[in-house]
Amino acid sequence: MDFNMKVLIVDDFATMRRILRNVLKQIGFSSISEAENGRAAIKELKKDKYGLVLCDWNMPEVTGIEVLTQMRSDSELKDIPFVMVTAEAQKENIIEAVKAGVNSYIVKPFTAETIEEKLKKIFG
Amino acid sequence: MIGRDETMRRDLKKEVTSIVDKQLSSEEFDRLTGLFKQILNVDMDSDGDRFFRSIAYELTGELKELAQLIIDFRRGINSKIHPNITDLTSKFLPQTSDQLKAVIEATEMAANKIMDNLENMQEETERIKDILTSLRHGRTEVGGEGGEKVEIAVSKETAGEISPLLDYMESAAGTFLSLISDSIVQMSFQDLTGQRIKRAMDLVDKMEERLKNMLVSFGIKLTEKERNPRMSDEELDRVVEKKVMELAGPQKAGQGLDQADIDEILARI
Repeated sequence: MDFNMKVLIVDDFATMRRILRNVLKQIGFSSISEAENGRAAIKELKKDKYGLVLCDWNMPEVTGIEVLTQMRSDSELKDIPFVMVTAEAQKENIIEAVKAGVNSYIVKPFTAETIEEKLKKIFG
Repeated sequence: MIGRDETMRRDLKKEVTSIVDKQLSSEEFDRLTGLFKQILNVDMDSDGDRFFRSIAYELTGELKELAQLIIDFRRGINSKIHPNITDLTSKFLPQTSDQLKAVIEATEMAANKIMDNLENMQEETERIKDILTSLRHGRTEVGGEGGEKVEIAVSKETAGEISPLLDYMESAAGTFLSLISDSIVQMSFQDLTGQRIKRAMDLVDKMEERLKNMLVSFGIKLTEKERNPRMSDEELDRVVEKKVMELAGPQKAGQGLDQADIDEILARI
Protein backbone atom coordinates (compact mmCIF):
# COMPACT_ATOMS: atom_id res chain seq x y z
CA MET A 1 0.00 0.00 0.00
CA ASP A 2 1.47 3.34 -1.05
CA PHE A 3 0.71 5.71 1.84
CA ASN A 4 1.81 8.68 -0.24
CA MET A 5 -1.09 8.33 -2.66
CA LYS A 6 -3.78 10.98 -2.66
CA VAL A 7 -7.08 9.88 -1.14
CA LEU A 8 -10.44 11.56 -1.73
CA ILE A 9 -13.22 11.31 0.86
CA VAL A 10 -16.71 12.09 -0.45
CA ASP A 11 -19.63 12.52 1.98
CA ASP A 12 -22.26 15.22 2.53
CA PHE A 13 -21.88 14.92 6.33
CA ALA A 14 -18.85 16.83 7.60
CA THR A 15 -18.58 14.64 10.72
CA MET A 16 -18.23 11.51 8.60
CA ARG A 17 -15.53 13.10 6.44
CA ARG A 18 -13.66 14.01 9.62
CA ILE A 19 -13.93 10.47 10.99
CA LEU A 20 -12.67 8.90 7.78
CA ARG A 21 -9.82 11.38 7.63
CA ASN A 22 -8.78 10.39 11.16
CA VAL A 23 -8.97 6.68 10.38
CA LEU A 24 -6.92 7.08 7.19
CA LYS A 25 -4.30 9.10 9.07
CA GLN A 26 -4.05 6.37 11.71
CA ILE A 27 -3.54 3.80 8.95
CA GLY A 28 -0.72 5.94 7.57
CA PHE A 29 -2.13 8.08 4.77
CA SER A 30 -1.06 11.70 4.82
CA SER A 31 -2.44 13.23 1.63
CA ILE A 32 -6.21 13.36 2.14
CA SER A 33 -8.76 15.61 0.42
CA GLU A 34 -12.51 15.98 0.89
CA ALA A 35 -15.56 16.66 -1.27
CA GLU A 36 -19.01 17.28 0.14
CA ASN A 37 -20.97 16.02 -2.85
CA GLY A 38 -20.71 13.98 -6.01
CA ARG A 39 -20.37 16.95 -8.32
CA ALA A 40 -17.48 18.41 -6.30
CA ALA A 41 -15.88 14.96 -6.20
CA ILE A 42 -15.75 14.58 -9.99
CA LYS A 43 -14.38 18.11 -10.31
CA GLU A 44 -11.66 17.32 -7.73
CA LEU A 45 -10.76 14.02 -9.36
CA LYS A 46 -10.24 15.78 -12.68
CA LYS A 47 -8.00 18.38 -11.05
CA ASP A 48 -5.45 16.06 -9.46
CA LYS A 49 -4.14 12.51 -9.54
CA TYR A 50 -5.88 10.34 -6.93
CA GLY A 51 -5.06 6.82 -5.87
CA LEU A 52 -8.20 6.03 -3.88
CA VAL A 53 -11.78 7.26 -3.38
CA LEU A 54 -13.94 6.62 -0.32
CA CYS A 55 -17.50 7.66 -1.10
CA ASP A 56 -20.92 7.75 0.52
CA TRP A 57 -23.97 6.58 -1.46
CA ASN A 58 -26.77 8.90 -0.38
CA MET A 59 -25.83 12.44 -1.33
CA PRO A 60 -27.95 15.22 -2.85
CA GLU A 61 -27.87 15.86 -6.62
CA VAL A 62 -25.20 13.29 -7.55
CA THR A 63 -25.21 10.04 -5.56
CA GLY A 64 -22.20 7.84 -4.83
CA ILE A 65 -23.30 5.25 -7.37
CA GLU A 66 -23.50 8.02 -9.99
CA VAL A 67 -19.99 9.16 -9.10
CA LEU A 68 -18.77 5.59 -9.52
CA THR A 69 -20.55 5.19 -12.87
CA GLN A 70 -19.12 8.46 -14.15
CA MET A 71 -15.62 7.48 -13.01
CA ARG A 72 -15.79 4.06 -14.68
CA SER A 73 -16.81 5.63 -17.97
CA ASP A 74 -14.04 8.22 -17.88
CA SER A 75 -10.70 7.13 -19.37
CA GLU A 76 -8.73 9.25 -16.86
CA LEU A 77 -10.62 8.03 -13.78
CA LYS A 78 -11.76 4.50 -14.56
CA ASP A 79 -8.89 2.69 -12.83
CA ILE A 80 -8.98 4.57 -9.51
CA PRO A 81 -9.98 2.18 -6.69
CA PHE A 82 -13.41 3.11 -5.30
CA VAL A 83 -14.70 2.11 -1.88
CA MET A 84 -18.38 2.72 -1.10
CA VAL A 85 -18.84 3.66 2.57
CA THR A 86 -22.58 3.75 3.21
CA ALA A 87 -25.50 2.98 5.49
CA GLU A 88 -27.25 1.22 2.56
CA ALA A 89 -27.00 -2.44 3.46
CA GLN A 90 -29.55 -4.11 1.18
CA LYS A 91 -28.45 -6.92 -1.12
CA GLU A 92 -29.64 -5.03 -4.20
CA ASN A 93 -27.48 -2.02 -3.28
CA ILE A 94 -24.40 -4.18 -3.04
CA ILE A 95 -25.18 -5.89 -6.34
CA GLU A 96 -25.73 -2.54 -8.02
CA ALA A 97 -22.42 -1.23 -6.69
CA VAL A 98 -20.55 -4.32 -7.82
CA LYS A 99 -22.09 -4.07 -11.29
CA ALA A 100 -21.01 -0.42 -11.42
CA GLY A 101 -17.44 -1.44 -10.65
CA VAL A 102 -16.92 -0.85 -6.91
CA ASN A 103 -13.71 -2.27 -5.42
CA SER A 104 -15.06 -2.63 -1.88
CA TYR A 105 -18.24 -1.97 0.06
CA ILE A 106 -18.18 -0.91 3.71
CA VAL A 107 -21.38 -0.55 5.70
CA LYS A 108 -21.83 2.15 8.35
CA PRO A 109 -21.25 1.97 11.27
CA PHE A 110 -17.76 0.61 10.60
CA THR A 111 -14.60 0.13 12.65
CA ALA A 112 -11.17 1.46 11.83
CA GLU A 113 -9.96 -2.15 11.55
CA THR A 114 -12.56 -2.89 8.84
CA ILE A 115 -11.38 0.08 6.77
CA GLU A 116 -7.76 -1.00 7.08
CA GLU A 117 -8.59 -4.61 6.25
CA LYS A 118 -10.55 -3.66 3.13
CA LEU A 119 -7.82 -1.32 1.90
CA LYS A 120 -5.17 -4.00 2.41
CA LYS A 121 -7.30 -6.36 0.32
CA ILE A 122 -7.47 -3.83 -2.52
CA PHE A 123 -3.81 -2.87 -2.55
CA GLY A 124 -2.28 -6.11 -1.30
CA MET B 1 -58.98 63.22 -24.65
CA ILE B 2 -57.20 61.45 -27.52
CA GLY B 3 -53.82 62.09 -25.89
CA ARG B 4 -55.04 60.62 -22.58
CA ASP B 5 -56.47 57.49 -24.30
CA GLU B 6 -53.21 56.93 -26.11
CA THR B 7 -51.29 57.27 -22.86
CA MET B 8 -53.58 54.78 -21.14
CA ARG B 9 -53.34 52.30 -24.00
CA ARG B 10 -49.57 52.59 -23.96
CA ASP B 11 -49.47 52.13 -20.16
CA LEU B 12 -51.79 49.13 -20.32
CA LYS B 13 -49.79 47.50 -23.09
CA LYS B 14 -46.57 48.07 -21.13
CA GLU B 15 -48.09 46.59 -17.97
CA VAL B 16 -49.49 43.50 -19.65
CA THR B 17 -46.29 42.89 -21.64
CA SER B 18 -44.20 43.09 -18.50
CA ILE B 19 -46.18 40.36 -16.77
CA VAL B 20 -47.00 38.10 -19.68
CA ASP B 21 -44.28 35.55 -18.96
CA LYS B 22 -44.30 35.48 -15.20
CA GLN B 23 -46.56 35.08 -12.21
CA LEU B 24 -48.72 37.97 -11.18
CA SER B 25 -47.81 39.18 -7.69
CA SER B 26 -50.44 40.87 -5.56
CA GLU B 27 -48.86 44.29 -6.20
CA GLU B 28 -48.96 43.74 -9.93
CA PHE B 29 -52.53 42.54 -9.67
CA ASP B 30 -53.50 45.74 -7.81
CA ARG B 31 -51.69 47.89 -10.35
CA LEU B 32 -53.36 46.14 -13.26
CA THR B 33 -56.88 46.35 -11.85
CA GLY B 34 -56.30 49.98 -10.93
CA LEU B 35 -55.29 50.67 -14.52
CA PHE B 36 -58.35 48.84 -15.87
CA LYS B 37 -60.58 50.89 -13.60
CA GLN B 38 -59.07 54.07 -14.99
CA ILE B 39 -59.66 52.89 -18.55
CA LEU B 40 -63.24 51.86 -17.80
CA ASN B 41 -64.01 55.31 -16.39
CA VAL B 42 -62.81 57.05 -19.55
CA ASP B 43 -65.48 58.07 -22.10
CA MET B 44 -64.62 56.11 -25.27
CA ASP B 45 -66.82 56.28 -28.38
CA SER B 46 -65.06 54.65 -31.31
CA ASP B 47 -65.55 50.96 -32.23
CA GLY B 48 -61.91 50.26 -31.46
CA ASP B 49 -62.25 51.81 -28.04
CA ARG B 50 -65.48 49.87 -27.29
CA PHE B 51 -63.74 46.64 -28.25
CA PHE B 52 -60.81 47.54 -26.07
CA ARG B 53 -63.12 48.38 -23.18
CA SER B 54 -64.94 45.02 -23.48
CA ILE B 55 -61.57 43.21 -23.27
CA ALA B 56 -60.67 45.27 -20.24
CA TYR B 57 -64.02 44.42 -18.59
CA GLU B 58 -63.53 40.73 -19.24
CA LEU B 59 -60.02 40.67 -17.81
CA THR B 60 -60.98 42.76 -14.83
CA GLY B 61 -63.89 40.41 -14.15
CA GLU B 62 -61.71 37.29 -14.03
CA LEU B 63 -58.99 38.91 -11.95
CA LYS B 64 -61.56 40.41 -9.63
CA GLU B 65 -63.26 37.04 -9.32
CA LEU B 66 -59.99 35.44 -8.35
CA ALA B 67 -59.31 38.09 -5.73
CA GLN B 68 -62.85 37.72 -4.38
CA LEU B 69 -62.38 33.98 -4.22
CA ILE B 70 -59.36 34.43 -2.02
CA ILE B 71 -61.18 36.87 0.25
CA ASP B 72 -64.18 34.50 0.53
CA PHE B 73 -61.86 31.62 1.14
CA ARG B 74 -60.18 33.46 3.97
CA ARG B 75 -63.44 34.51 5.55
CA GLY B 76 -65.50 31.40 5.03
CA ILE B 77 -63.18 28.47 5.22
CA ASN B 78 -62.14 28.62 8.84
CA SER B 79 -65.71 27.91 9.90
CA LYS B 80 -65.86 24.80 7.75
CA ILE B 81 -62.54 23.14 8.50
CA HIS B 82 -61.57 21.97 11.95
CA PRO B 83 -58.92 24.33 13.32
CA ASN B 84 -56.72 21.34 14.18
CA ILE B 85 -56.30 20.63 10.48
CA THR B 86 -55.41 24.18 9.55
CA ASP B 87 -53.11 24.39 12.58
CA LEU B 88 -51.43 21.21 11.44
CA THR B 89 -50.75 22.69 8.03
CA SER B 90 -49.77 26.20 8.91
CA LYS B 91 -48.08 25.66 12.27
CA PHE B 92 -47.26 22.16 13.44
CA LEU B 93 -45.82 20.63 10.29
CA PRO B 94 -43.52 23.57 9.51
CA GLN B 95 -42.51 23.60 13.20
CA THR B 96 -41.77 19.87 13.06
CA SER B 97 -39.48 20.33 10.07
CA ASP B 98 -37.67 23.17 11.86
CA GLN B 99 -37.27 21.09 15.01
CA LEU B 100 -35.79 18.17 13.10
CA LYS B 101 -33.34 20.49 11.37
CA ALA B 102 -32.33 21.84 14.78
CA VAL B 103 -31.67 18.28 15.98
CA ILE B 104 -29.26 17.68 13.09
CA GLU B 105 -27.47 20.95 13.79
CA ALA B 106 -27.20 20.28 17.54
CA THR B 107 -25.86 16.73 17.09
CA GLU B 108 -23.36 17.94 14.49
CA MET B 109 -22.10 20.62 16.87
CA ALA B 110 -21.79 18.14 19.76
CA ALA B 111 -20.08 15.51 17.59
CA ASN B 112 -17.54 18.07 16.34
CA LYS B 113 -16.78 19.25 19.89
CA ILE B 114 -16.29 15.68 21.09
CA MET B 115 -14.02 14.98 18.13
CA ASP B 116 -11.95 18.09 18.89
CA ASN B 117 -11.33 16.71 22.39
CA LEU B 118 -10.66 13.19 21.18
CA GLU B 119 -8.17 14.34 18.56
CA ASN B 120 -6.32 16.41 21.17
CA MET B 121 -6.18 13.39 23.48
CA GLN B 122 -4.95 11.28 20.58
CA GLU B 123 -2.14 13.69 19.84
CA GLU B 124 -1.02 13.93 23.47
CA THR B 125 -1.11 10.17 23.99
CA GLU B 126 0.98 9.59 20.86
CA ARG B 127 3.51 12.08 22.20
CA ILE B 128 3.65 10.28 25.54
CA LYS B 129 4.24 6.98 23.74
CA ASP B 130 7.13 8.52 21.79
CA ILE B 131 8.65 9.89 25.00
CA LEU B 132 8.49 6.49 26.68
CA THR B 133 10.12 4.82 23.68
CA SER B 134 12.95 7.30 23.55
CA LEU B 135 13.46 7.04 27.32
CA ARG B 136 14.30 3.37 26.87
CA HIS B 137 17.26 4.50 24.79
CA GLY B 138 18.49 6.77 27.57
CA ARG B 139 17.35 10.18 26.39
CA THR B 140 14.19 12.09 25.80
CA GLU B 141 12.80 15.62 25.56
CA VAL B 142 9.70 17.07 27.18
CA GLY B 143 8.16 20.53 27.10
CA GLY B 144 9.06 22.49 30.25
CA GLU B 145 7.24 25.45 31.86
CA GLY B 146 6.94 28.46 29.56
CA GLY B 147 7.29 26.17 26.51
CA GLU B 148 11.00 25.42 26.90
CA LYS B 149 12.17 21.96 26.00
CA VAL B 150 13.81 19.99 28.79
CA GLU B 151 16.16 17.15 28.02
CA ILE B 152 16.03 14.11 30.25
CA ALA B 153 18.80 11.58 30.22
CA VAL B 154 18.88 8.31 32.09
CA SER B 155 21.71 5.86 32.40
CA LYS B 156 21.51 2.41 30.85
CA GLU B 157 21.24 1.00 34.33
CA THR B 158 18.34 3.21 35.33
CA ALA B 159 16.59 2.56 32.01
CA GLY B 160 16.86 -1.15 32.76
CA GLU B 161 15.48 -0.71 36.28
CA ILE B 162 12.47 1.27 35.15
CA SER B 163 11.81 -0.98 32.14
CA PRO B 164 8.74 -2.67 33.74
CA LEU B 165 7.28 0.75 34.42
CA LEU B 166 7.96 1.83 30.85
CA ASP B 167 6.31 -1.39 29.60
CA TYR B 168 3.21 -0.72 31.65
CA MET B 169 2.94 2.90 30.58
CA GLU B 170 3.49 2.11 26.91
CA SER B 171 0.79 -0.56 27.09
CA ALA B 172 -1.59 1.89 28.80
CA ALA B 173 -0.89 4.53 26.13
CA GLY B 174 -1.64 1.94 23.47
CA THR B 175 -4.95 1.11 25.16
CA PHE B 176 -5.86 4.80 25.35
CA LEU B 177 -5.10 5.27 21.67
CA SER B 178 -7.24 2.31 20.75
CA LEU B 179 -10.17 3.58 22.88
CA ILE B 180 -9.83 7.09 21.47
CA SER B 181 -9.79 5.75 17.91
CA ASP B 182 -12.89 3.68 18.59
CA SER B 183 -14.67 6.67 20.17
CA ILE B 184 -13.90 8.79 17.11
CA VAL B 185 -15.44 6.18 14.84
CA GLN B 186 -18.54 6.01 17.09
CA MET B 187 -19.18 9.69 16.30
CA SER B 188 -20.59 8.36 13.02
CA PHE B 189 -23.89 8.17 14.96
CA GLN B 190 -24.35 11.77 13.85
CA ASP B 191 -24.25 10.77 10.19
CA LEU B 192 -26.56 7.78 10.67
CA THR B 193 -29.15 9.66 12.72
CA GLY B 194 -28.84 12.70 10.46
CA GLN B 195 -29.69 10.69 7.35
CA ARG B 196 -32.80 9.23 8.98
CA ILE B 197 -33.87 12.61 10.29
CA LYS B 198 -33.46 14.11 6.82
CA ARG B 199 -35.79 11.44 5.42
CA ALA B 200 -38.34 12.26 8.12
CA MET B 201 -38.01 15.95 7.24
CA ASP B 202 -38.66 15.23 3.56
CA LEU B 203 -41.77 13.30 4.56
CA VAL B 204 -43.00 16.14 6.79
CA ASP B 205 -42.41 18.68 4.01
CA LYS B 206 -44.36 16.52 1.54
CA MET B 207 -47.21 16.11 4.02
CA GLU B 208 -47.31 19.85 4.54
CA GLU B 209 -47.51 20.52 0.80
CA ARG B 210 -50.24 17.91 0.25
CA LEU B 211 -52.34 19.16 3.13
CA LYS B 212 -52.05 22.72 1.89
CA ASN B 213 -53.19 21.66 -1.57
CA MET B 214 -56.05 19.68 -0.07
CA LEU B 215 -57.19 22.63 2.03
CA VAL B 216 -57.06 25.03 -0.88
CA SER B 217 -58.99 22.59 -3.11
CA PHE B 218 -61.56 21.99 -0.39
CA GLY B 219 -62.05 25.71 0.17
CA ILE B 220 -62.48 26.40 -3.50
CA LYS B 221 -64.91 23.48 -3.85
CA LEU B 222 -67.06 24.78 -1.01
CA THR B 223 -67.11 28.29 -2.36
CA GLU B 224 -67.93 27.20 -5.90
CA LYS B 225 -70.66 24.83 -4.74
CA GLU B 226 -72.23 27.56 -2.67
CA ARG B 227 -72.19 29.84 -5.66
CA ASN B 228 -73.47 27.19 -8.11
CA PRO B 229 -75.39 24.51 -6.19
CA ARG B 230 -76.51 22.80 -9.42
CA MET B 231 -72.99 22.25 -10.67
CA SER B 232 -72.21 18.56 -11.20
CA ASP B 233 -69.33 16.91 -9.34
CA GLU B 234 -67.36 16.53 -12.55
CA GLU B 235 -67.76 20.16 -13.48
CA LEU B 236 -66.86 21.13 -9.93
CA ASP B 237 -63.67 19.08 -10.07
CA ARG B 238 -62.70 20.76 -13.33
CA VAL B 239 -63.34 24.22 -11.94
CA VAL B 240 -61.39 23.40 -8.76
CA GLU B 241 -58.44 22.08 -10.73
CA LYS B 242 -58.38 25.20 -12.89
CA LYS B 243 -58.58 27.53 -9.91
CA VAL B 244 -55.94 25.62 -7.92
CA MET B 245 -53.55 25.84 -10.84
CA GLU B 246 -54.24 29.54 -11.20
CA LEU B 247 -53.66 30.10 -7.51
CA ALA B 248 -50.59 27.96 -7.19
CA GLY B 249 -48.57 28.57 -10.32
CA PRO B 250 -47.66 30.70 -13.33
CA GLN B 251 -49.58 28.63 -15.89
CA LYS B 252 -51.59 31.56 -17.18
CA ALA B 253 -49.97 34.89 -17.75
CA GLY B 254 -51.51 37.55 -15.57
CA GLN B 255 -53.77 35.15 -13.70
CA GLY B 256 -51.46 33.25 -11.34
CA LEU B 257 -50.60 34.14 -7.78
CA ASP B 258 -47.46 32.79 -6.19
CA GLN B 259 -47.11 30.21 -3.41
CA ALA B 260 -46.42 32.97 -0.87
CA ASP B 261 -50.01 34.13 -1.32
CA ILE B 262 -51.34 30.64 -0.65
CA ASP B 263 -49.18 30.39 2.46
CA GLU B 264 -50.39 33.77 3.60
CA ILE B 265 -54.00 32.69 3.15
CA LEU B 266 -53.44 29.60 5.24
CA ALA B 267 -51.48 31.45 7.89
CA ARG B 268 -54.36 33.89 8.36
CA ILE B 269 -57.04 31.21 8.68
